[in-house]
Order: sequence, then C-alpha cells, then structure tokens
Amino acid sequence: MTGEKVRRLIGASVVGLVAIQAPQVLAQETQRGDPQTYEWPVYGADKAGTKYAPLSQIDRHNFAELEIAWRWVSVDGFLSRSTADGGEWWASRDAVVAALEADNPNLYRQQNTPNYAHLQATPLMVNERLFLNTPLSQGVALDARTGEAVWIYNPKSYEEGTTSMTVTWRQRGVAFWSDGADDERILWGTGAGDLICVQAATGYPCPGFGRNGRVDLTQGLPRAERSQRDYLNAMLYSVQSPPIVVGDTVIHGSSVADRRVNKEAVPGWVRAWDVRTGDHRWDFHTVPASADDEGADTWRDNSWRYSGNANVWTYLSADEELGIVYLPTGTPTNDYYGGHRLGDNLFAESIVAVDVASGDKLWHFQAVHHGLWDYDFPTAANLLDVVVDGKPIKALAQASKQGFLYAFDRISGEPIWPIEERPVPTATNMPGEEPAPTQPFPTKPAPFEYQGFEEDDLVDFTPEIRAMALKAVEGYTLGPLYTPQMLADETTKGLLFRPTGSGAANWSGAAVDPETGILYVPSRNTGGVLSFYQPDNGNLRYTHGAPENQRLKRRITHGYPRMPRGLPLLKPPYSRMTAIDMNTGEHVWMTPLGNGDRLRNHRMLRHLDLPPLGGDGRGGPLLTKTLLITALSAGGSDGGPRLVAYDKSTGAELSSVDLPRGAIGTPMTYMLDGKQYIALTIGGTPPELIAFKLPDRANR
Amino acid sequence: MSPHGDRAGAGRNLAALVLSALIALAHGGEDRSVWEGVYTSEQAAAGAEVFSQACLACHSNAPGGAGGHGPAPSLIGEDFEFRWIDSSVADLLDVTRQTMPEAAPNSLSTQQYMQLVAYILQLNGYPAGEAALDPAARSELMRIYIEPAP
Repeated sequence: MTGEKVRRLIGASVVGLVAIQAPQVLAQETQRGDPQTYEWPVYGADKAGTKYAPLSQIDRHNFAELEIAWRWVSVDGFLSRSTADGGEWWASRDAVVAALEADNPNLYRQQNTPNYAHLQATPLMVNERLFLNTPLSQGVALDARTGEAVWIYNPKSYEEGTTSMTVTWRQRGVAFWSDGADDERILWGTGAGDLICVQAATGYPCPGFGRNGRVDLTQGLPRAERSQRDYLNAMLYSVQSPPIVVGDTVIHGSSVADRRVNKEAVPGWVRAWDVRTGDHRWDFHTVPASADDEGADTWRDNSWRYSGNANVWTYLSADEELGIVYLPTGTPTNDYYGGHRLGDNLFAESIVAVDVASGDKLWHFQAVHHGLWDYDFPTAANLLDVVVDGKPIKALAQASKQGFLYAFDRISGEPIWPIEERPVPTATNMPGEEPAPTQPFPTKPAPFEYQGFEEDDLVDFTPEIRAMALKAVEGYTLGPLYTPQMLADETTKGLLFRPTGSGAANWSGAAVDPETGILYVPSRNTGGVLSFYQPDNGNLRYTHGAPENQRLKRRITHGYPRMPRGLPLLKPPYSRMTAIDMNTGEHVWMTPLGNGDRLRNHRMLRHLDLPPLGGDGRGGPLLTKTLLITALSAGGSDGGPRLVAYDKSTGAELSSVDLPRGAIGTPMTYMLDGKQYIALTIGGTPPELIAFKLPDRANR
Repeated sequence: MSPHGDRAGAGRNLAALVLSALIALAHGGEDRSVWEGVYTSEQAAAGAEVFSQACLACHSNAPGGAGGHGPAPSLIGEDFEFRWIDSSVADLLDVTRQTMPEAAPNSLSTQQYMQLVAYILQLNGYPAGEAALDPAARSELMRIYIEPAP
C-alpha cells in the first residue's frame, strides 16, 4: 500500500488495502459513498498522471447547480523587494518592476517584464490545504474550505531577469513530499532555474535542503552559465512544470528557449536530487555528454557537443512500485532547422524510462527522428493497467503534438500494438537539411487528430468556399505528416503542415479512467507555415520566425493562407475530445469541443445546418467516477466560457456552468467535510483560482 | 463534410437568401446590420478606454496602422472588412474574448469585451445609435451582421 493512496482516503467510510495499481479496490469503496476527505496530492491526481478521482457527489443531475464556493486572486499583483537596510518593500507589480528596471535597465527581455497572466497551475490538495505556484514563481498554500491564503513563499526569482522559453512567465504546479511522519514538503522549480523546498505546514524554507531551502539547478549543467543572457536578453534556463518526487528523489525537467539564433544551447538533461538535502543524485543525458554516451552516434559531426534543448518542459509521471520515471522529451536545437544536428538525435522527442535509483535508462522509444516540426512530447505519459487480448499489461500511453497516441508495456518498453517504421517524404530545398527517411507510425490506436495538410483536407462546406480555400493555398507546398520544412522561394511559399507545434495534444494532456482503461484526450486541429531567415546575430544557418527587431516593431505576417470573411481553411472539427479504449486500442467516441456557434451562424454557412464544429478550446480534462469535465472558451449563457460535463461513455454533453473568466489551467477535484469541490484557474487582472461546489442543500 | 447547396450562380444565392430569411424567422427576428446604429457612443468611449489599456500596445487604433505601438494586425478598414464581412457581432465578441489580449485571453469582463467591440465598430465608421450592445441578448447579437457600406 502506498502512502499516497492512503492519504487520499482519509476519513473514508471504508479504508481497505489499496495499492497504486488496484483501482478496482478503490471503486468498491467509493460505491458505498464518497469519503469525507479525498486529496489530490500530485499535479495529475497521482504519479500515474490519470487526472482521475473516484468521486461521485457532483454528477450529471446536479452539475448545473454548481456554485462558486470561493475565489482567490493571485498574489502576483503585489510583489516585494529586499531593501539595502534589510527591510522588505511591498508594492504593486508595476511599481516593483519599475524600481528593478530603474536600477538595471537591461534586467528584462524587451517587452517581457514580469507578467502575472498565465496562472496555469493545477493545485494540489493535501491536509485540507491547496498548494500551487504563480507565474512569478511564488508558492502559495490556501485553506481548501475558504481559499484564504495560509502562507506565501516568494523566492523573488523575478529579480533575476526574464524567464527562458518562447513562452515566458508561467508555472504549472508544485510537488508534495512526506516522509510518512512529520516531515512534509512542497517543492517547485522557478523561472530563474532554482528548485525551492518549503515546509508544507508553514511555507518556511526547508532547513538542510540546498542553500536555505534552494538548489541552483544550473550547477553542473553545460552551456547554462547563470549570469549569461541569450540574444533576447532572457535567462538560459528555467523550470515551469512541477517536479515529481519518487521515493525520496525529486526529479524535474526544464525550459530552454526554442527561438534561437545560435546552434549552442543548454542540453535539456533531466535532473534528480535528494528530497531531504538537495544533494545531486543523477542526470539523464537527453543530449549526450560525451562520445561514450549512448546515442552520441546519432548526432553527426559530434553535434552533441554544442546542441541543446531535447528537454522535458512538461510534467513527468512515474510508477513508484517499479521505481521508474518516464521522461517525455522535446525537439533538439532548433525546432524546425536540423542542418547543424544531422542524424536521429537521441534522446530527443522520445519517451525514456529511467530507473529512479540509479538514473540509468531502462528503455526508450524515439517518436520522431531528426525532428523538424516542434513535436515535443507535451505532456506526461499516462500510466494505466489494461488487458489486451486476455493479457494483463502495465501500460503507458503517451499523447503527442503529432496526433498519435503511443502505447507501450511500461516495464519492457515493447509496443502494445506494432509501431512501423514507414518511409516519409524527404525532398526539401532547405540548404544543409537531411530529413530522416523513415518515421515510426503506430498501427493502433488510430490518430486522435488530423495529420498532414493536403487538398482533401481543405474545407468543403460549399463549392464556392472550397474554391476560396484552393485559391488560398496556391503556391504552397502541401503534404502528409512529416513532410520536411521548405524555404520560401520562387517555387514555394513554404510548407503547410499539420498538426503544428501547438496542435493536437499539449500540456493539457490526457486523462485515464483506471476502472475502464479508457483514455480521454483533448486536441486541436491547427495548420501552419513557417518562414525562415538567416540570422546576422548568430551562427545558425537558418532559424524560423523573424529578427526580433522586426517582430517587435513591424506587422507580423506569418504567411499562413488567409480565407476571406473569417471562413475556416480546413475541415472541422477545430478541436475535439477523443475517448480511446486502451484495452482494445479502438476509439470509443469523438466529440467536437464546442458547437462552434459563432461560425455556424456565419452568413455564408448558417443555411447549411452544420453539425457542431468544435474550436471552443482544448481544456485539460478532469475525470471523476461520474463525469468527464473540461473547460470551454465559449457556449456559456452569454456565449462566454464555461465548465462542461460530458458523459464518459458516449461523449454527450450533459451540463455546464458559466465561468466568470476563461479557464487557464486544468481543473482538479477534492473532498473536504463530505463536500466535493472542483478548482481551476481563470483569467483576470490578476488571474484567480476559483472553487465550485454544490449548494449546501444539494449535498448528500 | 459534404458540400451542401451546390446549385450555381444566382439561383444558389437566391436560395441561400430565402433560407437565411426562413432561419431568421425561425429564430424569432430579422437580420440587422451594423449600419443601423447598434451601439452607443458612451459604450464606444468606454471601449476606447479599455483599448488603450489592453490592446494599444499591439494594435493601432488609427487607419493604416499609423500611431500604432505594436506589431499586431490592423483592426480597421480593408483588413477588418476582409475578415469580418458576413460575420455577426456575436462572432466578433466571441473571437475577441477568446483570443485577446494575446497574453491573457478571456481575462477582461464580458462587458469590457462588448465595449471593445463597440469601439472597433466605431473605428470602422459604423454609426452609433440609441441602444447599447448587450452581451446578455445573445440571440440579438447573433442577428446583427457586419456588412460593407450600402
């Protein structure tokens, strides 16, 4: 029995022997009624990343009665700064940032000062408190009944500079650890590349952990000099996703900037530390550290010596019983041009199973060889137990930006269903590029999102609209998934490709129901085209986008085909939720996320009586015993954002409640005093964390 | 998705118009046009205030982009017409609130987004009227269409 599961059922009417991979036992207990208290101690509900809680108080019949129990406004609007006399000065975010810039005009990246908007965290609930971190890396504990702050710890990482990564100033959550007795800790990484450890009870820095409760994560990491800034004047290394604690080892990924002008970059090694002391335990080299490292021969011309990224910018999952942590890695430097890193580039864009005790690799699977499409693995793998053709399998299901769901035996790394290496297009006019001749294609499950960008994919609502779409894509290169990038010239306007790096699945991830083995994954249908240029301020032969001075001062034209009158270019749906039975690999259902009423009401479309089109977002999923819940950006009573409940078996929308602002993070749920809450972050100035519950009269 | 209504030329347009009229009737009202004065000057003035705080860093509020502070696409004139003709005011509200401000979509109140829509209509020369746009009157907003100059 794991401590984690025991903790979550405090006060349950029946607490039996519950093992982490024995969901049937949980189900039997909760059928007798929800427990008085149910905790959510890990970002994704548990270390398996299920996003599942076996609670049933909120159901299809009462969901519409949900009311806001409390609202908490992020503390990032009111910051502090240490003063020379040893005091602490508190003022508005704007005032503190202005003072910092007055002292150091070059402190921040241009137009990228501390921004509190992206409150993307999913809180934990432990010991009647919620724990989360804010975009400016402050850690917070809230009373889970009232939303009142219990403590705040501000590492003041915003004093050091602008965070790394193309997307800046965001944090997605924290990790909880307990020794099973009195030592309970909250840990998170910061935008400035530190690992923070505080006492869960008080928020005070952990004694004996690193230096005053802080570990510098750049120590011992190649090409990560802390004082250096990149060409955007941003820091080189940040952490934005929650770490995971397995046993007494805390493990984390990192954020390394994707928009680059130089081929040299910080390698996205996954790092592990002693949760008690902060002492370094191991690194897993996602980019080799020497010619002797496995995979070094997949970086031609010793390009591992300078290449970087291949980082895990998202969160992690782990099987505590097996002692394995699973690393979903990203694209190597840089996202779309591989001319400086010829070869397959292990262990980029891979799932790597690592032994937590030793840091050794147990198995790996590379999903994209020599990636040219920014197909980072964007979310933790989901761990679940299934029965395939009568054989029980401890499985791993990995959602992806490219729309595939990769499924493995998580002990052996063997694919559950065959994954075939198939030839892919290699013709490109990109100087110095050598695309991989084959890529892995899962034979099952079927892709959960559209792949490739070809004429058949263009919208065909009417012949007139289809003609508009055909005209819009004239001159572009079209092709199937994994068609290489093209340099715009007199023969092509560039490659139209799909999904893009922000398409299909992303950090909203997938949820799995351990009772049924069904996985639910939200996804977006996005196409894109890239422009490339030769930077005059770096050594990359080509990079994507536009020089920063043009990007900031001129109108951006991404070059994507524009359809007149706001009409879509591609066939619907524009976002969807797909349910996949991981026992069979078959899709159970697919439903568009939202009706797309604004488009269906278009004057050129409304007479067509179109079915739901999706496009109302790709919110993170939350699963309970009774419901699949996600937030949509539209469809509320005034057309605005809402929290929606779906039938898990059919995908039918059951009910929804309006949200005061658009959702940012993925919702979570917990029980306290016999009441079920659903909490999620929403927009605002500053943004908020809000919690829903049923009116008292409706509680059972 | 299969194409619908594949008749050609004027016949198709006529059929579409008739269908639109029938649908409008079924929804309990006639289409309206942004040329009828669908927002108030007060609402647009409030929208100008919101615009200066939330949008002006990236979007110009002057024709041709002059005086703009940032790199984002123009919201005025040909660019606006290319994108928004034949869409409803509800569509403009929804897209604005779902996508903007870019760093924090859906972070303003619905009333503020509605005020922004009024201001954007005013910037494009559509006249003010007696009644304000009301985000709660969803079906009304869905019937107000953005049209080129008559």
